[in-house]
Amino acid sequence: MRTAAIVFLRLLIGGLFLWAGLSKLGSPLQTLATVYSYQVVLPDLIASLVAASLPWMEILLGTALLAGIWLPVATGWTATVLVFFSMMTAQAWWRELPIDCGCVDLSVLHPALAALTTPGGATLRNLVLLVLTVLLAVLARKRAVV
Amino acid sequence: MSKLVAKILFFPLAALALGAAYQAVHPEGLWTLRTGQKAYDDGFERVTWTEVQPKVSSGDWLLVDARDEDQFAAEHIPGAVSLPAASYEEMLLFFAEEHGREKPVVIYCGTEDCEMSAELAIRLRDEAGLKEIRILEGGILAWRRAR
Repeated sequence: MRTAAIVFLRLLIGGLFLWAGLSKLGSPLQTLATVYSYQVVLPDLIASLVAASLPWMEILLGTALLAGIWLPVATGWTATVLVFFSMMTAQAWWRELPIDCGCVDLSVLHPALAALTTPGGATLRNLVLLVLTVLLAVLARKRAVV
Repeated sequence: MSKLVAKILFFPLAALALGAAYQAVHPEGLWTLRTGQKAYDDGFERVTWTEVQPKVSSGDWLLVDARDEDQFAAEHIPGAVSLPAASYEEMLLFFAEEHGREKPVVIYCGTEDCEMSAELAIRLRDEAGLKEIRILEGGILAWRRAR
């Protein structure tokens, strides 16, 4: 049961991260525009570094989770990235910024899921994913100990 | 212990290295635009959306979208015409013939800094001979915020 839960969470979170990363690769400028749209004061060089490296961070973490490689480190980084995402979307939500979250648009699965790309919906999604990632880390750690 | 540290450092360092390399080879790579921005940063007046809106509405200024056609198709400021910054010179000349070289234009792109706008501005001035070129401060984001 525990193994099944671990595999399910790895596939879910890893798949979403890989999808998110790959979907950003085609349009670097759009990714940079999304970074700027959060209106957090960043030097241009830092904003560019975030826009350049973020898709690859998502791809690497998604691949590691899907493959089950270095799980403790991969879940740790995934949780860190999700905390960062949650803070960004939450501040945009609080400030009522008209942003596109830059995240995977799940409305291709169901139109109602388009709500998850709004700042509020994205914050909620990030927090749920954060909880699931922590759960994955705990389950994977317990299995390693056992 | 050192193995764990290496694993922890692997993800951000690999992401940075892959990201930097990918941007260097991608046609819209951010590093190229950064270099372009430094080269083309001077000489064009930056105008805010508040200044632009009435001039565009009255038809005095022409709004030009410097992003690629896909981005223009996905979303653009109403009334804008598409002229990607990477257009062939023939396209720039055709644009100048169609709209006239004396018509004031305001260029925008997708980012806050508008690197492509500056790139297109200098091409329209030098290659197509346009006389009056301005750049929309904040790009399309300024319009989005004002909506």
